[in-house]
Amino acid sequence: MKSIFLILFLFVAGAGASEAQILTPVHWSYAVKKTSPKEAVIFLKADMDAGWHIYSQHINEGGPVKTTIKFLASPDFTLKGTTIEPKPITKMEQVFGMEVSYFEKSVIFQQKISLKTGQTTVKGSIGYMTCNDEKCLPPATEEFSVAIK
Amino acid sequence: MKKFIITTLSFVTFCLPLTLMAQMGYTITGKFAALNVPAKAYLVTLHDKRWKETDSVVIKNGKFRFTGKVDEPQTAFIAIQRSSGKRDDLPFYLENSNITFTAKDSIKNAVVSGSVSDKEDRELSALTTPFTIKITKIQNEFSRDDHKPVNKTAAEKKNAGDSIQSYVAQIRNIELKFIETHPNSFMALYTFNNFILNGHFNSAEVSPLFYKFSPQLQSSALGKLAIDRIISAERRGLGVKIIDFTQTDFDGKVFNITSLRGKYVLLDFWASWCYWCRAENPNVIKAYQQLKDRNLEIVSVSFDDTRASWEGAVKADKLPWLQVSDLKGMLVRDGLAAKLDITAIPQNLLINPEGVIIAANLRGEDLPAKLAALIK
Repeated sequence: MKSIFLILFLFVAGAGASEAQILTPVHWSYAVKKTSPKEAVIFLKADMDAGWHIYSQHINEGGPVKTTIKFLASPDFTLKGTTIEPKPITKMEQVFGMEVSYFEKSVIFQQKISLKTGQTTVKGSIGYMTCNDEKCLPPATEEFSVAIK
Repeated sequence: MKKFIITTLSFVTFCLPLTLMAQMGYTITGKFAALNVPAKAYLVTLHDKRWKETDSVVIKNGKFRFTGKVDEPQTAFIAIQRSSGKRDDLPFYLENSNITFTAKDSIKNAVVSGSVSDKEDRELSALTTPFTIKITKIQNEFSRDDHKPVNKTAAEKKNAGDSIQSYVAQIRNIELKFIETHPNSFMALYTFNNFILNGHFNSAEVSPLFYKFSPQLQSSALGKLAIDRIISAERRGLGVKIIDFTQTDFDGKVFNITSLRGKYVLLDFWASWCYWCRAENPNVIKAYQQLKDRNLEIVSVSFDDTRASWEGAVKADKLPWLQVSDLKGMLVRDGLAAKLDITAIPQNLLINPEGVIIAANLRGEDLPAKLAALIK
């Protein structure tokens, strides 16, 4: 059997600059790659409008709100390890008195899962916040749902 | 004569069918001249602020077709997923009309026809794009991907900043003119809602513009959204008496804004997670030290949702003035942020002894001087 490795980001990204302000400056899209009959990787991608950034999953208390990815528990799969993120931009921020890590333009978070069934839907939520060079938007939660076929 | 007839006809077709079209629904047809791999077309629309695939169809002989009905024009896109894995998409304005996509092999470069909103959007973009290109060019010139300082003099930076401001003002004028000249246009309402109602809009200035829209547009879903924001923003307009509200201080004591009548009050909206609020705090501290004996009180309203983060930030930044919060965050319905249309922070309001808002969003190193000039 030939397995096809497709990464289909659901079409959230790139709806044009005129879109930006009605929603948020951060546009999420999701994809899944089945790496074997028993394993898959979930991809969570954030595309940010120019000048906006979101924060890493790893930030100490007392600073900006870190990105938090939660998966809804299901009998169909188990999480393998933690959610991986690429190397962020890290800066010592005097304002917060700590090192702060963030992403610009776009970032893909990845979560490996072990499958107990061939088909299922992975659901969860992403908590995040975003700032540009003069203001910050309140922390928001984005729900996702990715079908594995 | 012939020309006259054509113009009249197109005028009639343009004006008449608004209601008719609403009953008819939309038909989207796509034609690819050279799409040689199996592919599927998706119609993606927004539901409750989320993108959803509303419809999908396998492309046959280079053609696809969607039919349906929308309550009002809206942003949507057509996405094409090829069996090879390659995908592309094109945003457009979906409305109840016959919309055609004509393309070679990629939808991205398709020619869209038939959607009035889409045509208007493209017309408006054609006018504003030259300015956005100029702005992007300056921004790229003055920022570096690696976050190292840019080798530019202060004068060059100031010039660049002035240029950007002037381009932004020109874009706004184009948008205002478009809105004024298109009272029946969904695109004009869309532009109004997204660009004129920006973070700090002045309610008194923009509301006459809203009431120029047709009654149908005013009462549409987007129209209702716009009027809600205008009404909320009116409450933070200059010359307006601040609404009565209560919050709670660290000791659990209820703070009522009316308790400070007779004093100038700088009402500062912030949160521990907000970089620019925290960065501004040293300026507010300076202002407090210089002006606290001149009948000025500062009240910081935090949009934090946990006491620990709120208290931690107040301690870290050593803020000596009154701190209040309801610890419900910024997005809660009927919360203070919603009542005053505060969608981003930092923001502040200066209130006079009678409780009337006399200034807003005073910021920067010269905050003490700005405040001193306003306090009598």
